[in-house]
Amino acid sequence: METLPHDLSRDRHVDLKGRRGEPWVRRAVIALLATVVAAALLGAVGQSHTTGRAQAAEATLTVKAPERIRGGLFFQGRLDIVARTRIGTPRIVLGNGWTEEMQLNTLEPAPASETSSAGELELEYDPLHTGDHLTIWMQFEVNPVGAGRRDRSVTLFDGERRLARVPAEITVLP
Amino acid sequence: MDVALRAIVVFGLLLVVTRAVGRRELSSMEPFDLILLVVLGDLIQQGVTQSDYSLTGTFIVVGVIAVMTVGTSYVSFKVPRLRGVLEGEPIVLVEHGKVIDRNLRRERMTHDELAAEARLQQIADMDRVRLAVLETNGSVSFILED
Repeated sequence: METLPHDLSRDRHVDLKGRRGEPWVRRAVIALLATVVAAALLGAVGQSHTTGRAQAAEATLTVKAPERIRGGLFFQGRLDIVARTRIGTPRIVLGNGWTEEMQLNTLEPAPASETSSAGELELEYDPLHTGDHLTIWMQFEVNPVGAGRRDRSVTLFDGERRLARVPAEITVLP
Repeated sequence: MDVALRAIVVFGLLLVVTRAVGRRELSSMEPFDLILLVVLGDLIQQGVTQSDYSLTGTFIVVGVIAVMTVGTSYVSFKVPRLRGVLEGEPIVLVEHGKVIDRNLRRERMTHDELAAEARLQQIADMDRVRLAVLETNGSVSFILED
């Protein structure tokens, strides 16, 4: 005598015929989630810092900031400029990735003047003498809707003369 | 628009995760599971609404979740082939008192857990069970021998 209710079939619900793949689909989804976890643990989805450096005869420029961040997070960018000669008009130009869809909470020390050109923020500081070491800390918060990849370069000028550039990009994950 | 998109993505993610994790794990509600559920809810809320504290945002998210829930249910109702994918299918665990180990293993369920489920329904002896079925909601239903 058949023991199963009419809505259950022996093939499908007892012998599980045609359902052999289900556990593998489940395992694949779990593996995918585990991959995301592993990537996060390895720092692939932000926001570990990277350090970029450019050396010129006049100065060394070092930029420490994350290259991958996520919406809503706070992060710090740090610039170090060591003057090898006198720099009369130190001017720092930040790629638009530093400011586009970012809240710039603070920038210390404050520049003597600031402006923007072609979507890039320009900061001008007081003259640096040989051996001077200028450190600039910038604190940001990422706008949640600002996902994308943008230019996160930093270029150091003396007036209009370009001295050093650290190219980089920043990826904002949703 | 982004808050609606985030709600849709999170709804889809939860649907996939709950199907992948397995019905047994989600049906039992130990104290730890309850705490985990509350923590999960908080984490999900942050991901969906983020810094949006507005009533408009709340309406959008609640609307999206409601529409997606009804939509999923409607698709499951209208398309029988997708019902298994969206809700899962029952699995027979015991037939005429004989435990089907292969099906038990597949759901990562032990004999002890099955016996505990039977006891919860005042069944002390598995020999009395004509049929035990792991239902799509994670509960085990027992049909006794006549």
